[in-house]
Amino acid sequence: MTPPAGGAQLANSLRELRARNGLTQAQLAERVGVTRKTINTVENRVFVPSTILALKLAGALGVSVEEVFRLEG
Amino acid sequence: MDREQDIARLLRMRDRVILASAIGFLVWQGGWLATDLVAPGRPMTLAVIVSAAGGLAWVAATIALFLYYRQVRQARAEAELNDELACYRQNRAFLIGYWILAGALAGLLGIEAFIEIDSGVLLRSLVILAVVAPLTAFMWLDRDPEETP
Repeated sequence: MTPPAGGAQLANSLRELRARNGLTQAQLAERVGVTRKTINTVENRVFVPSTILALKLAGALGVSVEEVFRLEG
Repeated sequence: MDREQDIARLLRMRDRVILASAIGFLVWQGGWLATDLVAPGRPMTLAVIVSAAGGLAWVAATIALFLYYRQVRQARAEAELNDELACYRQNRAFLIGYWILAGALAGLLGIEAFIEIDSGVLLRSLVILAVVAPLTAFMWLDRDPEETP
Protein backbone atom coordinates (compact mmCIF):
# COMPACT_ATOMS: atom_id res chain seq x y z
CA MET A 1 0.00 0.00 0.00
CA THR A 2 1.23 3.51 -0.74
CA PRO A 3 2.31 5.33 2.41
CA PRO A 4 -0.47 7.29 4.11
CA ALA A 5 -0.13 11.07 3.93
CA GLY A 6 0.82 12.55 7.30
CA GLY A 7 -0.33 9.45 9.17
CA ALA A 8 -3.84 9.66 7.70
CA GLN A 9 -5.46 6.56 6.19
CA LEU A 10 -7.73 6.50 3.17
CA ALA A 11 -11.06 4.98 4.13
CA ASN A 12 -13.80 4.25 1.61
CA SER A 13 -17.46 3.34 1.26
CA LEU A 14 -16.93 1.39 -1.93
CA ARG A 15 -18.55 -1.82 -0.70
CA GLU A 16 -21.71 -0.07 0.50
CA LEU A 17 -22.03 2.05 -2.64
CA ARG A 18 -21.40 -0.95 -4.86
CA ALA A 19 -24.06 -2.95 -3.03
CA ARG A 20 -26.49 -0.01 -3.33
CA ASN A 21 -25.93 -0.06 -7.10
CA GLY A 22 -26.39 -3.83 -7.21
CA LEU A 23 -22.93 -4.44 -8.64
CA THR A 24 -20.50 -7.26 -7.97
CA GLN A 25 -16.78 -6.53 -7.67
CA ALA A 26 -16.24 -7.99 -11.14
CA GLN A 27 -18.98 -5.83 -12.68
CA LEU A 28 -17.58 -2.67 -11.12
CA ALA A 29 -14.08 -3.71 -12.22
CA GLU A 30 -15.29 -4.10 -15.81
CA ARG A 31 -16.90 -0.66 -15.73
CA VAL A 32 -13.67 1.05 -14.71
CA GLY A 33 -11.27 -1.16 -16.67
CA VAL A 34 -9.42 -2.95 -13.88
CA THR A 35 -9.46 -6.49 -12.47
CA ARG A 36 -11.65 -7.71 -9.63
CA LYS A 37 -8.52 -8.03 -7.50
CA THR A 38 -8.00 -4.29 -7.71
CA ILE A 39 -11.55 -3.53 -6.55
CA ASN A 40 -11.18 -6.04 -3.71
CA THR A 41 -7.89 -4.58 -2.50
CA VAL A 42 -9.27 -1.04 -2.62
CA GLU A 43 -12.38 -2.09 -0.68
CA ASN A 44 -10.25 -3.83 1.93
CA ARG A 45 -7.88 -0.86 2.17
CA VAL A 46 -4.94 -2.95 1.06
CA PHE A 47 -4.30 -0.73 -1.97
CA VAL A 48 -4.69 3.03 -2.31
CA PRO A 49 -5.95 3.85 -5.81
CA SER A 50 -4.64 6.68 -7.97
CA THR A 51 -6.70 9.84 -8.35
CA ILE A 52 -7.68 8.72 -11.83
CA LEU A 53 -9.02 5.38 -10.60
CA ALA A 54 -10.75 7.06 -7.64
CA LEU A 55 -12.53 9.42 -10.05
CA LYS A 56 -13.47 6.52 -12.35
CA LEU A 57 -14.87 4.55 -9.40
CA ALA A 58 -16.92 7.52 -8.22
CA GLY A 59 -18.17 8.08 -11.77
CA ALA A 60 -19.15 4.43 -12.19
CA LEU A 61 -21.09 4.56 -8.93
CA GLY A 62 -22.72 7.88 -9.81
CA VAL A 63 -21.43 9.78 -6.79
CA SER A 64 -18.73 12.32 -6.04
CA VAL A 65 -15.25 11.11 -5.12
CA GLU A 66 -15.68 12.50 -1.59
CA GLU A 67 -18.64 10.19 -1.08
CA VAL A 68 -16.46 7.19 -1.89
CA PHE A 69 -13.20 8.16 -0.20
CA ARG A 70 -12.38 10.04 3.00
CA LEU A 71 -9.34 10.57 5.18
CA GLU A 72 -9.28 8.90 8.56
CA GLY A 73 -7.00 9.57 11.49
CA MET B 1 -17.59 -16.59 -22.54
CA ASP B 2 -18.31 -13.13 -21.10
CA ARG B 3 -15.59 -10.60 -20.41
CA GLU B 4 -15.70 -11.07 -16.64
CA GLN B 5 -14.94 -14.78 -16.98
CA ASP B 6 -12.35 -14.09 -19.66
CA ILE B 7 -10.38 -11.73 -17.40
CA ALA B 8 -10.59 -14.19 -14.48
CA ARG B 9 -9.34 -17.00 -16.75
CA LEU B 10 -6.42 -14.89 -17.98
CA LEU B 11 -5.51 -13.96 -14.39
CA ARG B 12 -5.44 -17.64 -13.44
CA MET B 13 -3.36 -18.39 -16.54
CA ARG B 14 -0.89 -15.64 -15.61
CA ASP B 15 -0.52 -17.07 -12.09
CA ARG B 16 0.10 -20.57 -13.44
CA VAL B 17 2.62 -19.37 -16.04
CA ILE B 18 4.59 -17.40 -13.44
CA LEU B 19 4.58 -20.38 -11.06
CA ALA B 20 5.72 -22.79 -13.78
CA SER B 21 8.40 -20.36 -14.92
CA ALA B 22 9.78 -19.88 -11.39
CA ILE B 23 9.79 -23.61 -10.58
CA GLY B 24 11.19 -24.57 -14.00
CA PHE B 25 14.04 -22.07 -13.78
CA LEU B 26 14.81 -23.02 -10.17
CA VAL B 27 14.96 -26.75 -10.96
CA TRP B 28 16.90 -26.22 -14.20
CA GLN B 29 19.56 -23.93 -12.77
CA GLY B 30 19.43 -25.55 -9.30
CA GLY B 31 20.24 -28.94 -10.84
CA TRP B 32 23.06 -27.37 -12.78
CA LEU B 33 24.31 -25.72 -9.60
CA ALA B 34 24.24 -29.12 -7.90
CA THR B 35 26.48 -30.55 -10.62
CA ASP B 36 28.89 -27.66 -10.00
CA LEU B 37 28.94 -28.45 -6.29
CA VAL B 38 29.46 -32.21 -6.64
CA ALA B 39 33.09 -33.20 -6.28
CA PRO B 40 34.71 -34.33 -9.55
CA GLY B 41 34.34 -38.04 -10.18
CA ARG B 42 31.11 -38.39 -8.13
CA PRO B 43 27.99 -39.57 -9.98
CA MET B 44 25.73 -36.70 -10.94
CA THR B 45 23.27 -38.37 -13.31
CA LEU B 46 20.27 -37.54 -11.13
CA ALA B 47 21.18 -33.85 -10.95
CA VAL B 48 21.65 -33.75 -14.74
CA ILE B 49 18.26 -35.42 -15.33
CA VAL B 50 16.49 -33.12 -12.85
CA SER B 51 18.18 -30.10 -14.40
CA ALA B 52 17.15 -31.17 -17.91
CA ALA B 53 13.56 -31.70 -16.76
CA GLY B 54 13.57 -28.25 -15.16
CA GLY B 55 14.96 -26.77 -18.38
CA LEU B 56 12.15 -28.35 -20.39
CA ALA B 57 9.59 -27.06 -17.87
CA TRP B 58 11.05 -23.58 -18.18
CA VAL B 59 10.92 -23.71 -21.99
CA ALA B 60 7.29 -24.87 -21.76
CA ALA B 61 6.52 -21.99 -19.36
CA THR B 62 8.14 -19.51 -21.76
CA ILE B 63 6.00 -20.82 -24.63
CA ALA B 64 2.95 -20.61 -22.36
CA LEU B 65 3.89 -17.00 -21.61
CA PHE B 66 3.80 -16.16 -25.35
CA LEU B 67 0.44 -17.91 -25.64
CA TYR B 68 -0.80 -15.95 -22.65
CA TYR B 69 0.23 -12.63 -24.23
CA ARG B 70 -1.47 -13.61 -27.47
CA GLN B 71 -4.69 -14.44 -25.63
CA VAL B 72 -4.50 -11.16 -23.70
CA ARG B 73 -4.18 -9.28 -27.01
CA GLN B 74 -7.05 -11.24 -28.56
CA ALA B 75 -9.24 -10.47 -25.55
CA ARG B 76 -8.09 -6.83 -25.67
CA ALA B 77 -7.47 -7.12 -21.94
CA GLU B 78 -4.01 -5.52 -21.73
CA ALA B 79 -5.32 -2.55 -19.74
CA GLU B 80 -7.17 -4.67 -17.18
CA LEU B 81 -4.37 -7.18 -16.68
CA ASN B 82 -1.77 -4.43 -16.38
CA ASP B 83 -3.90 -2.16 -14.24
CA GLU B 84 -2.40 0.00 -11.53
CA LEU B 85 -2.54 -2.73 -8.88
CA ALA B 86 -0.64 -5.13 -11.16
CA CYS B 87 1.97 -2.44 -11.99
CA TYR B 88 2.32 -1.55 -8.31
CA ARG B 89 2.85 -5.19 -7.36
CA GLN B 90 5.32 -5.73 -10.21
CA ASN B 91 7.37 -2.78 -8.97
CA ARG B 92 7.23 -4.09 -5.40
CA ALA B 93 8.24 -7.57 -6.56
CA PHE B 94 11.26 -6.16 -8.41
CA LEU B 95 12.22 -4.13 -5.35
CA ILE B 96 11.92 -7.20 -3.08
CA GLY B 97 13.97 -9.19 -5.62
CA TYR B 98 16.63 -6.49 -5.63
CA TRP B 99 16.98 -6.52 -1.84
CA ILE B 100 17.08 -10.32 -1.71
CA LEU B 101 19.78 -10.28 -4.39
CA ALA B 102 21.76 -7.57 -2.59
CA GLY B 103 21.46 -9.47 0.71
CA ALA B 104 22.54 -12.74 -0.92
CA LEU B 105 25.48 -11.02 -2.62
CA ALA B 106 26.61 -9.49 0.67
CA GLY B 107 26.17 -12.85 2.44
CA LEU B 108 28.06 -14.82 -0.21
CA LEU B 109 30.89 -12.28 -0.28
CA GLY B 110 31.05 -12.51 3.51
CA ILE B 111 31.24 -16.31 3.38
CA GLU B 112 33.79 -16.07 0.58
CA ALA B 113 36.15 -14.37 3.04
CA PHE B 114 36.31 -17.65 5.00
CA ILE B 115 35.53 -20.34 2.42
CA GLU B 116 36.64 -20.33 -1.18
CA ILE B 117 33.59 -20.24 -3.45
CA ASP B 118 33.87 -20.98 -7.14
CA SER B 119 32.97 -17.89 -9.18
CA GLY B 120 30.69 -20.00 -11.40
CA VAL B 121 28.75 -21.21 -8.36
CA LEU B 122 28.53 -17.66 -7.05
CA LEU B 123 27.25 -16.29 -10.35
CA ARG B 124 24.77 -19.12 -10.89
CA SER B 125 23.38 -18.71 -7.37
CA LEU B 126 22.87 -15.01 -7.99
CA VAL B 127 21.24 -15.62 -11.40
CA ILE B 128 18.81 -18.09 -9.80
CA LEU B 129 17.90 -15.55 -7.14
CA ALA B 130 17.63 -12.71 -9.68
CA VAL B 131 15.02 -14.65 -11.67
CA VAL B 132 13.17 -16.61 -9.00
CA ALA B 133 12.96 -13.99 -6.22
CA PRO B 134 10.91 -11.35 -8.13
CA LEU B 135 8.61 -14.03 -9.61
CA THR B 136 7.99 -15.55 -6.18
CA ALA B 137 7.53 -12.12 -4.62
CA PHE B 138 4.94 -11.22 -7.27
CA MET B 139 3.03 -14.47 -6.68
CA TRP B 140 3.06 -13.81 -2.94
CA LEU B 141 1.92 -10.20 -3.33
CA ASP B 142 -0.74 -11.11 -5.89
CA ARG B 143 -2.25 -14.07 -4.03
CA ASP B 144 -5.97 -13.96 -4.59
CA PRO B 145 -8.07 -12.43 -1.83
CA GLU B 146 -11.59 -13.72 -1.34
CA GLU B 147 -14.29 -11.93 -3.28
CA THR B 148 -16.79 -9.97 -1.23
CA PRO B 149 -20.31 -10.13 -2.66
